[in-house]
Amino acid sequence: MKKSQKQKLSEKEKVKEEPQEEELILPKAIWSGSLSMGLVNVPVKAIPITRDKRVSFKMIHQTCGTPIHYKKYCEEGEEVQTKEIVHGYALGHKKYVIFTDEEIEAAKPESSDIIDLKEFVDFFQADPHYFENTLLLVPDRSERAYSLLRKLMEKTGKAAIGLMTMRSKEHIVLVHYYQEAIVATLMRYSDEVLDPGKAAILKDLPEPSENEISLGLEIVKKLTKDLDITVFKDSFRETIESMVQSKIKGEVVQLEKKAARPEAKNLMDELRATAESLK
Amino acid sequence: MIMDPIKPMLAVQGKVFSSNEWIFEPKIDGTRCIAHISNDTVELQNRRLRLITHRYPEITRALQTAAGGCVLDGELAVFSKGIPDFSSLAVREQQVKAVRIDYLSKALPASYIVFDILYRGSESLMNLPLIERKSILENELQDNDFITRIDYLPAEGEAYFKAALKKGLEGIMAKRLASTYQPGVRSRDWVKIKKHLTLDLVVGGYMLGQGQRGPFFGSLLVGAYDSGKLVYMGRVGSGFSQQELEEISLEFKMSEGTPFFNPPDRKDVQWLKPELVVEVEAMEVSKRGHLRAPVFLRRRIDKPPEECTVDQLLIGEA
Repeated sequence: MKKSQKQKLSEKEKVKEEPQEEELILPKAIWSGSLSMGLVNVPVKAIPITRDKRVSFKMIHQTCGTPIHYKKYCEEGEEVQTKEIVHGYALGHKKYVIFTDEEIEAAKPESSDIIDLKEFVDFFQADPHYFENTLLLVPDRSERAYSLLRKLMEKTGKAAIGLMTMRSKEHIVLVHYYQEAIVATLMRYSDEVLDPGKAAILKDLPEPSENEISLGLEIVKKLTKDLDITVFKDSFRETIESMVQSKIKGEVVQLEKKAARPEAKNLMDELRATAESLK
Repeated sequence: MIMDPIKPMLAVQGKVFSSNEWIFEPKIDGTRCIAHISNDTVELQNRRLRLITHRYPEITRALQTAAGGCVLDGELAVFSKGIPDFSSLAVREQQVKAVRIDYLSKALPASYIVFDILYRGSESLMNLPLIERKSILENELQDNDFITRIDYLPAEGEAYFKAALKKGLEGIMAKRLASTYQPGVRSRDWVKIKKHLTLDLVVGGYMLGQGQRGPFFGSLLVGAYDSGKLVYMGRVGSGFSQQELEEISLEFKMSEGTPFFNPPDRKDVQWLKPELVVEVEAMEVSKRGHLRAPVFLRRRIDKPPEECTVDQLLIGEA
């Protein structure tokens, strides 16, 4: 009886190892559109798969404790309003070719909400040095087609490569599967990654001796383990966060002192009294 | 503990009335929260069945001592100047970092205002009449600094409504004494009574702005879903702050075609993908389904467009 009256949790939500852990609430999508391959269309939403947890600080004026804001000045010393700002393509020697918002807008690639997948390639052919960041793609009322595409990629080990326009920028994307999801990894253009073989310092490296190699292989063998990324912690972040805790301790004690807050109770007593008087 | 989340019972909107068959409660401007309490754990879930336990450590701790095994329904609110303040609550709702959650649980502590009990141990109470559930709640839950059982007034809806507006609340809830708890149902046994009608609507296009509104928009074209179709309901052109004009414009996702089932016949419209949700206040909705004198209230980042359905328009009657 009880089960039928309640909404059941999906299997995934039931796997709870730590009491603190809750179901993953996905952040807001930054893009929506569809994966397109020939005649097949799979509507999806894109969500950044990484979360930046690095420590960041705000600039604060030490004497008054309020945040710092910027004002924009030109070299003539005048404060400049946003609407007076145009874009300069720097030629060097203080010479700029000027572009207006409209000119730049017109030059941008036509925005499209389709990830046009041109071909399938072997996932491991894609060189990770070209990887920029990865977007998690979630189905947008397209669960069946999405699931099929994911399964096909898992079974074949293939990824699809194509183009995606996001915020008026065109990107090469590699669409592949990751765990239960389809993801799109944005990639650099081929001329954006250095070719180290062409660097003088790397051109004529001395050839190691047989002896050195076999000794080295021994060491590598001894130190070889399975990769476990979870052992690496951001110790700077942890230190700063524990410093934050101790820095605010005094204030928290003050806040806890005035903790008795019968506000909800007061409100309801007042409402009742007022209502009685209005009867 | 593995708990099954429960879809909360929902209310229709209606006009103020008095009746011996009803009780009246203050309407708390917060976030809906169902608490699942067992001997050793407390889990909080919101209206959308998401777990929000870790966001409100003060409530979780307080419930541990306030009640034994039971499932409670209520509203989480953060008080400011004596009344629930939605914008303070919004600060609490957005946190993911443990350090901030911990600090804000002390700087902006929440109150859990409990109005119903759905289970006692594993025994479902949902089929009992409301008034019996209220008396069980009285025995099962003790108030403390963070937990408050909601007060209610029998019969005198009009007086209670006036008192609520005087105190600066948005309205009251009317609940039928004999009603059962109907999970997931927008029931006529619960009526929210507010000064004005408010609706959560999907933005499907905008009219171009003129003058100062030039860079943004003149008005938003809004609608609600009726069995999968987005039904156009009118234009909202007032109530926006400068900041809101900017923020909303940035969210626009252009679309070639109209998302509306019954689009208005106008040329100067830019259609949008139906992804933005806004809360709108209106004098009333005409018989033909059009908004009268709509005013923008706020964006609803927390609400998915597909949940903005025409059943919000159900009007309760006494």
